[in-house]
Amino acid sequence: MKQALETFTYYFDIVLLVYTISICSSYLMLALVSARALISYKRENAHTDYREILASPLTPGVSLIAPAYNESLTIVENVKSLLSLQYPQLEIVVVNDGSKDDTLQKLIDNYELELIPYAYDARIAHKPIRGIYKSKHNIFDKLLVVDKTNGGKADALNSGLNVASGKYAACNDVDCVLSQDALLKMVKPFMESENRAIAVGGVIRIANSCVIEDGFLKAVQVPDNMLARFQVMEYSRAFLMGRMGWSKADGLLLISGAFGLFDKEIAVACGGYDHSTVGEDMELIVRMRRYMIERGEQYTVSFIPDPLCWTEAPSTNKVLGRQRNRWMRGTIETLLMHKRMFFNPKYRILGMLSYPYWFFFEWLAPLVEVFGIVYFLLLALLDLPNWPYFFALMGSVYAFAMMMSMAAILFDEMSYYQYTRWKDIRKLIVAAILEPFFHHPKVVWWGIRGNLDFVQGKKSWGEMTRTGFNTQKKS
Amino acid sequence: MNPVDNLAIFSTYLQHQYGDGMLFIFWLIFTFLFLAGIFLTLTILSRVAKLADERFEKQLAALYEPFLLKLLYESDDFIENPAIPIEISSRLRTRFQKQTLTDLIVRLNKGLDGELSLKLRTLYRVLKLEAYSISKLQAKVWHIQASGIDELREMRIVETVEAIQKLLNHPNWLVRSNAQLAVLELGNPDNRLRLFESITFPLTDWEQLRLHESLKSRNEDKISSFSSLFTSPNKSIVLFGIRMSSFFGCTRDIPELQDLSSNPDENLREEAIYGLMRLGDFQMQEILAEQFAIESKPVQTAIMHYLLQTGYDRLSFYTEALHDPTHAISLLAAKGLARFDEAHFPTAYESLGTNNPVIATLLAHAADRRLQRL
Repeated sequence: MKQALETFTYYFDIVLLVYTISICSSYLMLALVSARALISYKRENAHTDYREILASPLTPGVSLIAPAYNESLTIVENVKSLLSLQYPQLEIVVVNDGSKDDTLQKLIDNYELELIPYAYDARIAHKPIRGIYKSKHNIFDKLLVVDKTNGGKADALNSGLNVASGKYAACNDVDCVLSQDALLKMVKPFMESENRAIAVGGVIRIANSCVIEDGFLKAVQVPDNMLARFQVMEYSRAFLMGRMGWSKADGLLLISGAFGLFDKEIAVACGGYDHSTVGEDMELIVRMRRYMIERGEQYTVSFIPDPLCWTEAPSTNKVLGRQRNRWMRGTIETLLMHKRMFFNPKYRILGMLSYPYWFFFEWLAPLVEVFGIVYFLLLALLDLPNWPYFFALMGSVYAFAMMMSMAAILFDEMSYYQYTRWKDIRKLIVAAILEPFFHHPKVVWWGIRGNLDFVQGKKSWGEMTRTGFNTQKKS
Repeated sequence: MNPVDNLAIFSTYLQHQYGDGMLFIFWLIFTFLFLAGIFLTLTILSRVAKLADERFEKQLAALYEPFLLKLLYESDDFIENPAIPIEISSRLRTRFQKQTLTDLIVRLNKGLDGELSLKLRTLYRVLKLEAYSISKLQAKVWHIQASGIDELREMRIVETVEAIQKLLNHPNWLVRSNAQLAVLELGNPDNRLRLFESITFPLTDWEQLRLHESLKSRNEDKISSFSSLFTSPNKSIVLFGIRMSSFFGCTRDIPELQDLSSNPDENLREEAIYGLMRLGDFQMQEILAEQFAIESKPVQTAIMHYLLQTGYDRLSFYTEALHDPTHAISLLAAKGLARFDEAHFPTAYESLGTNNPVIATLLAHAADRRLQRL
């Protein structure tokens, strides 16, 4: 019996070791590819004059779709911020998704909206539109407000896609702060691509503790809240060291729902956002890519490292837990919806690398980790662990995590030099040292909860309470 | 005993006590931590270097700016007798120094013309910064080549156009794009469009935008026709030519554009129709209205735009198109109907819209003055 157990543990240890080496190697590879892509992007765009886009008749039209649900407190300021974005042919489509508060009334009063007979192309199904509003004033000519029955974010975005008249549609959370030149920078990959660009994503940054004045970002600071600071580290690793690399390898599967720009024709042709998943942002990209591959069309999906969109990160465990739980369920749902891509050479990098990566290292990672802990506890009960090896392996994992976090700080520093104070670097280093002990276990737990909730068929988004930006008003 | 010896003793101990596996893990941890330390050091060094560069740039700017201002507004004979103060010429030893002054001169020259620009160009030559930029063309790294081309273009060094021309089909798109702009701006003004004979890569929309902006900023009045581009084997150049022809109001090109509106290539037909629309040519109305039924959706949309813009007035055409399943086309048809005078339109509205809410909304949308944009 003991010999059988030892044989089992021997082979099982090998499996776990191979898994660990694979995950670490993939992170390293991605980081290396990302570094190359980042340097190349910086060099290519060092002398770009984005003002040229402003005056050109060749600039394509963009519709920015911003769904709003119970945003009464901030909607007027947020829309004001969107209206001031620099882009010549811009349409702002705010979709009031059946808010229970006075979001719509605030918009009507502040922008002097009136109901208009707007004919739209109802190619994607969504909950009924109750009315479309436009301002009486020419200064708000860009603004279109859609009032519809509540149907969730995906449903609101779909109605926005139907109403939008631009060639490209930018989907954006209305409570995010966009940099003034965000659209100019996002549209460039569409214009410079030799193949048809179908989607472009940008880096999402965390705005907690940053100074926001009248809807504009005025000063960038590392969050005071430790939980938000851990998320700064996570976002840097995910965007600068992950998605940048996937984009370079033509394997990007996710453009964040907070801000992305899409070829509207393709997004509509493949049915828009899926209502049945809470990971609608990832699912749409996967579906758009499949659509292009299955039609045999050349295309690109790009990612740009410029810090264009600033969002408030959850600052309590409860809210962050709900978010991560939803992200995990969204990942599982998307992977299952597109399971035929799994190691399918027809989908090239997507099928052979991206999908397996998401499957093994995004979906399964928390499960493997918890399974590993349980397995170890069982061995400990049987007094089987080799303690020196246990501590040495723990040390190696921690050292690897430290190395990746320090690399993320370096990427951040060398790319866009956002945190200009020495104090901010210090704060990030502290976060990097503490994260594996105090944050990572919680992330694993939320991932497990996401799996359990998925099995139980939970479909809700979970309430996302926000504390609000560090705002200042002009006197 | 030094740390390396300590490390060697410790690793021997580990190997002896726990075997090769432990030794491997130890070195793994050591490597990861060592790399973490390297990254941290690089972060700090990068920050220090950035701050030092900023300080150094400020120092150099404080040195160069008064000299440049004096040169521009006080030195009357600088072009004939260029004299450079020793404190300026002696500070051009490193690449950083050369680049900082080059950037400053290029930036200043952007907004200048005439004698002031000539003074700056003389300075650029005398300080051998021109040679520095030319040397960049031979660099093995694409981004240095691209920046060299940009500097020579901004400083209008026409003698370098031949060297730059060789880079028109460079594998890197930025080098290509910068070379296109440079050859366009520095090449023979009487035959600027010859540049396009050499381009074999497709012109992206971004490159077209840059070329258009360049032509616009030079108030290009010597090009009265872009028709020479219409016969290019490179389709993107034909598309560019059509666009430019209409943006610059080259009415001379209308006959060629009319021919292109029946070209077998869908994109060329579509662009030619938009071109004719922008040029205000209305001679193709009947032909295109006839062509409409057999066209693809993008070309049909272009035809609808063209007919609306040029005031085509056949009620039956719009009435038929109003029922097109493509929303964009039916909306444009409704807009066409809305243009008829009040005597006609209510009739059209009543007969078409009463039993069909979709058509009714289209007509209401089209008639609403707040939504008049095409």
